[in-house]
Order: sequence, then C-alpha cells, then structure tokens
Amino acid sequence: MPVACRMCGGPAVLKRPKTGDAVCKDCFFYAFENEVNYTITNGNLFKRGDRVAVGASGGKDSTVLAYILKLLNERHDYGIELILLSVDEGITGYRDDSLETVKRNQHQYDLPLKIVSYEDLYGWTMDAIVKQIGLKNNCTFCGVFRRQALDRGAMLLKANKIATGHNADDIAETVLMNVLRGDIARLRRCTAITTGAEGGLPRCKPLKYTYEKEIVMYAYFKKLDYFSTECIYSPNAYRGHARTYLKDLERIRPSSIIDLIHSGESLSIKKDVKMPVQGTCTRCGYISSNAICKACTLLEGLNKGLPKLAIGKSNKSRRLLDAASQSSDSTNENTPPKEKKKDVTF
Amino acid sequence: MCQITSQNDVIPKEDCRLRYPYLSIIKSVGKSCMKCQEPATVVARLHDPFCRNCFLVYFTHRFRATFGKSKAVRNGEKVLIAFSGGHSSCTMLHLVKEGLAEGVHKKLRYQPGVVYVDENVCLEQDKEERSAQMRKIETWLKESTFPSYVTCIEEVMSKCSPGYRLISGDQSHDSEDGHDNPPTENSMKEEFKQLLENTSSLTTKEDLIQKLRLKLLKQIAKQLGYTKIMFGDSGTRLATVLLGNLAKGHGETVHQDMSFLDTRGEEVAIIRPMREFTSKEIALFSHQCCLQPVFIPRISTKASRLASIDTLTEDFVNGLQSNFPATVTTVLKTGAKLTSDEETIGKRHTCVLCQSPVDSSSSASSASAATQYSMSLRKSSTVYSSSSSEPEAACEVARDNASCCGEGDESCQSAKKNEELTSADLSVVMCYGCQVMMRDVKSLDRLPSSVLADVQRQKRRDEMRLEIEDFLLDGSEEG
Repeated sequence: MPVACRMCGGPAVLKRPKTGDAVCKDCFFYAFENEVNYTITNGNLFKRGDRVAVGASGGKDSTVLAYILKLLNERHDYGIELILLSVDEGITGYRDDSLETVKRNQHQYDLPLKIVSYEDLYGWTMDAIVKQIGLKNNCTFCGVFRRQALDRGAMLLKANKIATGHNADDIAETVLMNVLRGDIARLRRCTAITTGAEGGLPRCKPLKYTYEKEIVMYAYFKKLDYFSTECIYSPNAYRGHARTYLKDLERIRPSSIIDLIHSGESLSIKKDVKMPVQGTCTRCGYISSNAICKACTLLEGLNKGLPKLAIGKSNKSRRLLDAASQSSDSTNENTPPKEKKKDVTF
Repeated sequence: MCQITSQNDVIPKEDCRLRYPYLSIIKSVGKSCMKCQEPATVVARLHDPFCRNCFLVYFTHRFRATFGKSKAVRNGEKVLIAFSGGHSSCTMLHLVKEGLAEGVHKKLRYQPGVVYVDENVCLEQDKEERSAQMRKIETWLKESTFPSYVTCIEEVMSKCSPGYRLISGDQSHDSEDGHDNPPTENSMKEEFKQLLENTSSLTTKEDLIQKLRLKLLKQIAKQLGYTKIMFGDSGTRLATVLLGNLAKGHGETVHQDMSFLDTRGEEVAIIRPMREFTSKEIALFSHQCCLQPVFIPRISTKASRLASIDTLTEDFVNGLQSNFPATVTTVLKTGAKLTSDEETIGKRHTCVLCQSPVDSSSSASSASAATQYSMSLRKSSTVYSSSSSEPEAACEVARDNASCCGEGDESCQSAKKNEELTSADLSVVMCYGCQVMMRDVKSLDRLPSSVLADVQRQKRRDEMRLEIEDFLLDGSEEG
C-alpha cells in the first residue's frame, strides 16, 4: 500500500530527513524551495541590485545553491546578479574533475564564471604544499588561502556579496569543532548567517538550515549533475571526528542538527574573556587580528622552508619570523625549527 | 582488592595496606615521582608520575582548593551530598569525611548530609541482588557518620512533599512527614513507570530521569533545610554533558550544567567539586584508597553506542580523550567562558523542567524560526500560487488569533479545557531543549503533578500580566 504524501495526499516517493514526513516529489520541491526563500527573506541576505559571487566548487552544495538562487531570483524577483566563482587549489585528481562540473554548470544555468587559482595568487598549489608539510595540518593552509582567494576573486568581479553553499551539517560540525578546540572567538561568529560585513566582502549562507541529505535528494530528483568525491587529503582531518559524531547523532535524533545550530546561536560569551581585535595586515592589507595576516604568515613559512610556521602557538611563530628575517640577509641557513609534535590545537 | 569479611563490614584503609603491602611498593619501571623522586606508582595525567602518598596529597589538595577558590560554601552551611554509589560519589564522600575530620587544619567547616536516590523502578532487579546493593549503600551511608537519607525516584510524582527514610545507627526508620505507607508508594511507582513507558526514545528517558531526580533532590534539600547539593560528576562526565546538551538544544544554559556552582532554581544551588578530575584520576584514587563503590545498573548500562545521545557522546569523548589528552580540559575551559544572555534574563519565564530561562527567538534569522516554518509548511497544499509565499493556515482559529493549537488536521483543540496541557503551551513554559525532549513523550499529562501545577501557575500569571500590562513600568521583572 503506497504511503500518502503528508502535504497533498498523493503517493509519496521519499521521506524528508528533516521532518520525517513522507512526501511526494513536487511537495518536496515546494517545501525545500520555500524554506530557502524564507531563510533569504527573513535574514535579509540580498538587496535589489546586489552583484553576488556564488562560491562554486562543483560539489553538491554549490551546484544546488547556484540552481536554486537562479530559480528563486526569477520566481520571487530578488533583483540580484549572479556570477559563479570557482577556486582552483591545485589538487590533482580532485579539483580538475570538479572544475569540469563547474564549467558544465556555467552552460546549463547560463551564468558567467571566473576561476582563480592558488598558483596565480600565491605561487603554490596544494599538492606542492602537502609535499612540503606532510599530511597533517594541510587543511589549515587550504582553508586560509581559499578564504582570501574567494575575496580577491569577488573583488576582481566587482561583486558586493559572496554566497557559499554551507549547509546545516557544516554549521553544526563547526560549532562542535570550535567547542572541542576551545576557539571561543570563532564559536561566537560561526552561526551567524552573514559574516564578514565589517572588513572585506560580506558572505552569506542561504542553505544554512537545509540538511545535507535533503540537498542530495533535491539534486537527485531534479537530475542536477555534480562531482561527489572527497578531497584526497581529508581522511586525516580532525573535522572527520566531529563529522562522524554528527552523522551518528542524526541517526539517533534527526533534529539534533538544527538543535545544535540553535545551541550555537544561543551561546553568549562572558564579558571578561579576551577576544581578538580586528585590524589590517601590514603586508597585504587584508583584514587580520594580528599585525600580519595568517595567509602571509603561512606563505612566509612556505617560502622560507619553515612549513610549521603558523601552526601552533602564535608567539613561537613571531619569534621564528624575526629569526628568519634576520638570517635571511645571510645565505640559506634554514634549519627547520624544533617543534613539539602536537596533534591538536592549530 | 579488599575483601569483605562479613556482610556488613568493610576493611578500613589502614588494614587494607597491611593485607596487601605490595600496593605501596609497586614500581613503575624507570619513572620517579615528580614531587619527591621516590619510585612512582601512578601516572595521573600524561607525563605526571606520582608515588602513592604524593598522589593522595595532590588529589586531596586539589579537591579542597576548588572549594577555597570559589568561596561558594560558607562556614556552617548545610550541604547535601548526592551519593550514587559509583566511583566519583564514593571518592567525594571519602574526601569530605577526611576533610572534616577532627584535627585537620582547615578553615572551612560546613555541615554535610548524605542522600541516596533509589532508582529501582527504572530497571527492575531481582530481589536478592537489590537487597545486597541496598545493604552496601547503607553501609557507606552509616560509615560516613553524617545524617543520611534514602529516597525513591518515584517520590517525585507525589502530590505533596516527597518522602524519604532516615538512616541512623543500626536501623533505619521512616520519616514522620511525607509518605511512609507502602500503598501510596505503589501508586507512585506505577505512575512513574507509565511515564517511562510513554516515552519512545532512550535519550528522552535518560533525560527525564535525570531532570526529575534533580527536582526531587532539590525538594528534599529544601524540606530538610539544606542550601546546597553536592554532586560527584567528574570532568569527563561534565565534558560529555556539555556536548550532549549542545546536541539537544540546551545551548544557552550549557555552561551552568558544568560549572562549579549552578544557581538555577530559587533556594537550592548545586556544586560540583569533582569537575577538576578526569574519570581516570578518580578511579586511580579510589583504587589507591581501597574504596568499594557499589555498581548498580541503569537503563543505559551496556547499551550500544547508538542507543542514545548520551551513550554516543560518552563514546565520542572517551575516544577523543585517548588520542588527544587535552580534550576534556579544553571543552571544560570553553564552557567556563560562556554565560547567559544577561539583558533578557529577568524578563523571561523559567522552564518548568530544568529551571533555565525559556529561549526567546528574537533574532530575525534563527534555527527555531526555521523549524517552525518547516512545520507550518507541512500543512499547506502543494498547489503553488505565485501571489503568496506564506502557506494559508488551515484553521479559522489560527487565522484570527495566534492561539492555534497546532493540530492542523481540522481537529481544532483550541476549545479544549484550560487545564489540559497542549504542545502549544509548551513553547511558553519550556526551554527549546526540553520542548525537543517532550516530542518523544506521548501524553504530557503523565508528567509529575508538581510540573503540571507549575505550568498552570505560569499560565495564570501570564493572564494576570496581560491584564495589567499597560500599567507596568519598564524594569519590572518576571517573577
């Protein structure tokens, strides 16, 4: 006996992970699209006339994001301009394939596309970086560089907003990770739907309350094509622990993901806790909470052969930088610094 | 380990060492105590070897220092110790007893009492095992020399004050107030069992038992004149509680669940002196002192990893802690930096189950608003009309005013009697986390009468406030 759709009574074809209801395809599309529209309008994410750079990696989140933003823009007349922005980290076997998907998206959705690469911006690809620093702590490099790359790419496109495809699972994982690592400053900011409005371009997350499983379902039923392999360096990431925990939580109680986001949003920090102050980097002008931004510090370390430069305690990195800049006047005497083997706390 | 010679006898610490002298000369090869350079017997944290004496001194000192630093307990204050029979409780009781012993140089003297909550109704054991366990517990209580009480968890369902038994000397006699007649006990047992049976998930069962146990302890403490309750939760346990409560939606008050001093609730506060220790350190101490905890199985004992959120989180934290030893301390430190939203705290209701402030989803974009929108979408038709993006409310009552009962399938419950508790009421009287928990409970009327009475009282207060709202000046606080 076929199960009836909860909303319209017709035959149901799927069960929504978010609410547990059995619904038919059209009702699912209706619910999904309306929820994203509600998030956008309630959070005031876009204004008429915005030029929005959509972070497109070729994966499921960004494919669905591009599709749905285009759809809702036309249907509800947001009045925004959409451009696809893609970052090439230089990871063979992973990024070149996903970039093909992005190029296909460009044709399918008829949106302009810009690709920026680490090679052009920094002179290093991720493969070269991993060769130098090994398999641990490389996510730090990739993440820091990507953030700057997105901002620089968006500025080249003269966009005034960036939209990324972070979904509810990502945000819940981030809350968990920040608690586990004791990063109180990030903990406060990570659940905001729009971040970075002060310096640099504001970036928003229209898919913030959509479950990852529902995004896959939407793409599947709408026959959207995407590239679905994990980054080849991801098995060693600390985030993997938080992700496994979250997946198991979802099995026990599906609403845990939203509950976790709710918890993250309700956190307040004590007034006497020291928080980083925002300034600008003295070398590149990007926003930074120290004198030199993280990307410049990491690059410095890579270029001077001190790969662990910005990994670990910050005063150590300053000492090393000073020592390195002094010894750089003489010939290459680069002795790699002695660091304690630390598995945790970047 | 120590043996019990007769049924009610436990060999004291000094004799234990005579019987097993090797305990004091176990050597850890190549390591010497970091304080006194004697051969080390335990490694408390990574890279910290101690010999037995220095370890005991270190542990005891940390326990007392936690009290001194926080200044939470004053001289002469009555403190009730919640004893469960596990390693942490036994260690804590032992330390309290040692600390208040005559001749010990100590400025802080408070008056402890001990209470044990019998939870046999949650997981029925066979009679012999149960009486053996109760005897061991009563031995512990008598050995403590503090006034000791035993109560049962089903007493929380009682319509007047909960009953308890006083343990003294060789015999235990019933309390004079409260219930001491078996017939009333049986009906409360049945009610409690019904409540548990009406709950579909293990997570919610565990949560309900934990919250109701706390409620019961607070009621008993208030009755007996104690101003504080001491719990033996270890640091590892509190890290688990923090992460678990984040996952259940209790974000705002998560820092109070793991702080040293928890002042939610009117008269009785909670202190957690064992939060400085990991479960490993407590187990080592308990072993070194030959303490004998009583093992009593609970509903989640030997449950699989995915049985409930608590079992999963415990597995997660223990796994991480073994690979990254700083996990527990980092999590606790993070929790200690959090606080509640101070600006709105006076104006909000208090949750009837956990005494936390009820959340107000005041920001434009929030998870609870998104969830409510998703729920409201369920009831709309799929025919998409481009004119409206808001789904039509199916019920006339909801279109007129905001008191939609939430049923939405044309069985309007708004006209129901005021006394019954509906899910719409819950959003006003319960915090987000407790509301999520209540979704698993089939009939809300099975909750203890004290909880239901609190709900009704809050509703009446709200009606009163609505009437006089125009005349209240800014700055008047919620009672």
